[in-house]
Amino acid sequence: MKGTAAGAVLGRAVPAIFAGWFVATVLSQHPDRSYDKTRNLDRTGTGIMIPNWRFFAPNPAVEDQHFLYRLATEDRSAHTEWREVYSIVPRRLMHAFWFPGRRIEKAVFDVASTLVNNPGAMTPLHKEAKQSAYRLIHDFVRSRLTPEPGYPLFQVLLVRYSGYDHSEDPKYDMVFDYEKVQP
Amino acid sequence: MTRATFPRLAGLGLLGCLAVGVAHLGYATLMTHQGHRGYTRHQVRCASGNIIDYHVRPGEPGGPVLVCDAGLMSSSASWLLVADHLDPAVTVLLYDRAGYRGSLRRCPEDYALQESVNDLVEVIRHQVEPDATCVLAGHSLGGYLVHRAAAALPDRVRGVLLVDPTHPRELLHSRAQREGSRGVNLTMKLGPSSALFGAGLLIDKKGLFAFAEGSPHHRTLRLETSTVSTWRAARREWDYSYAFMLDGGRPLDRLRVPVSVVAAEATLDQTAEHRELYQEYVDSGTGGRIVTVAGSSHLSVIGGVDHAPRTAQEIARALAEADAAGRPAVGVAGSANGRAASTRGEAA
Repeated sequence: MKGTAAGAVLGRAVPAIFAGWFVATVLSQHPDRSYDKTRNLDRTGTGIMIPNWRFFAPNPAVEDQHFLYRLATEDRSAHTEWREVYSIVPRRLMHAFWFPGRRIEKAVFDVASTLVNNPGAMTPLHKEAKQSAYRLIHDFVRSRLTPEPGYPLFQVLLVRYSGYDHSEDPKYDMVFDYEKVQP
Repeated sequence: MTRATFPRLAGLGLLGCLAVGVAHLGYATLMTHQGHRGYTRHQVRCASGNIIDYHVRPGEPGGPVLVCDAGLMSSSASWLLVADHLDPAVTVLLYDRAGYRGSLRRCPEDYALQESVNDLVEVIRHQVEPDATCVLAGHSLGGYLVHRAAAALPDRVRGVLLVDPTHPRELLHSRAQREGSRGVNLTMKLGPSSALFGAGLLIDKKGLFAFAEGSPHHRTLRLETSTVSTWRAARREWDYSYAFMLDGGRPLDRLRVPVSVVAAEATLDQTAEHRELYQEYVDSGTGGRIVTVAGSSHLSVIGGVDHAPRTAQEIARALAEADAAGRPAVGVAGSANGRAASTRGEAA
C-alpha cells in the first residue's frame, strides 16, 4: 500500500520537476543577456543547472565583414565618400576545390571578430589582442587605399553585410581612429 | 482524470508563462498611457504628422518655463524626480517624443533626428508664450535634441542645460564608447519583438533600475521597459543615431544663449574624452559651465534620489540666470491662460 502511494507521488512529482526545469530552460534562451532573470534562479553560480544554447556557438556567423575607408583632411573637417577596401568574391563551384583568395576573407573575418566579440573584456591579453588587430587592419587598408592630395589621414569603418541579399541594409559596426596615410 | 505527463505539464507551463507575460505587457501599456500626477496632459498634431503628448505642471503666471526632453528608451517619466525638486513657481513641460508613452508616430517618412527636433520646436511654439523665460533641458540623446531645437528657436529660448548629453562625435572620439555601443545593437534589434511576447518580465529590472531605488517614480520607469511602443521608438532612434554618430554627426550649432552641462561622474571616469565634448557644448553658447555630480551615473543623474536634487539645483541656477539676463516674462500658455481648445485638458 505504502509503495503504491509513494509511486503515485513520484509519478506526479518527477514529471512536474522536469517540466519546471524545461520551462526555466526555455525561458533562459533569449540571445540578449538582459533577459536572464530566470537563469539567475540557478544559485550554484556556475550556470550549469540551466542549459545554455550559447555554449558552442554564441553568435553564429551569417554575414560577411567588410572594411570601408574614407580619406580626411588634416583638421578632419572634410572627408571623401566611404570606399570599399576589397570586394567579396562571388562563389563558384570551382571554389569548393581551389580558392586561395578565401584566405583574405577569412583573415578579415577573424581579425574583425577579435574586435567586435566580447567588447567588455579588458584583460591585458584582450587589450593586446585588440591593439594588434587594430594595427593589422590599418596596415591592410593602408596598403590598398588610393591616396589623394590634401587628404593625409584615413579612417576605417567595419560593416556587416550579407553579400547576397541586396534588399538588406548594411550594418555599421565600428568606426576606427584616424590614421596617417603615410606612416 | 487526465494524467500529469511531462509534455502536458511543460506545455501548460509555457502557455502559462506566455499568458502572464502578455498580461504584464497589457498592464504596462495601460499604465504608461496615463498622465503624470500633478500635471495636465496636452496633445498637439505636428506638421510631421506625429501626435505629440506633453505634460505641464503649471507654475506661477509669468514665471520661468522649463522644457525637458528625455534620453533614448526614456520618456517624460525620467524627468519627474528632478521636477519634484524644482520650485513650484517654475512651469515644467515634460515632452514625450513620437512613439513614447501617449505620443504617436504618424510621420510617413523614414525617421531622422530632425523629425524629433521639429516636433519639439512645434510643442514649444504651441505652448510657451514668446516672451516667457524658456530654458530647455535634455538628458542623453534628449540633450543633443534640445541643443538643436534651441538653434531653431533663437528668439524663444533663453538658456540650455544638458544633462550627460549625447554628443554627435562621441563615437568617433572615444573607442571605449564605440565598443560599448555595439553591444546595444543586439538589445535594440530584439527588444520590440521580445516585448510583444511579454518578455519584459524576463528582464532583470532590479539591477537595471537600481539607480532609481527609493524614487517615487521607480515603478513607472520599470513598467516602461515592458511596452512594445517604448522599444520600437528606441530602436528607430537608435538605428538612425548610431549610423549618424558613426559617421561623425554634424558640427554643433552656435547658440546665442548660455549652455551648461551637468555631467555624471561615472561618464567622465569611464570615458575621459567626454570632458572635451562637453566643453565643446559649453563653447557653443555664450557662457555656462560643466558641473559634475559626484557619485552619479548616466541614469542616476536624473533618476537617482541622491543625485536628482543636485541636477535640479543646476537647473534652478540656469533658470535664475536666464531670468535675470532676459526680458521680463509675462506669461505661459497652459498655466493661467491655457489654450484649452488645443488640449485635452485632462488632469492626470
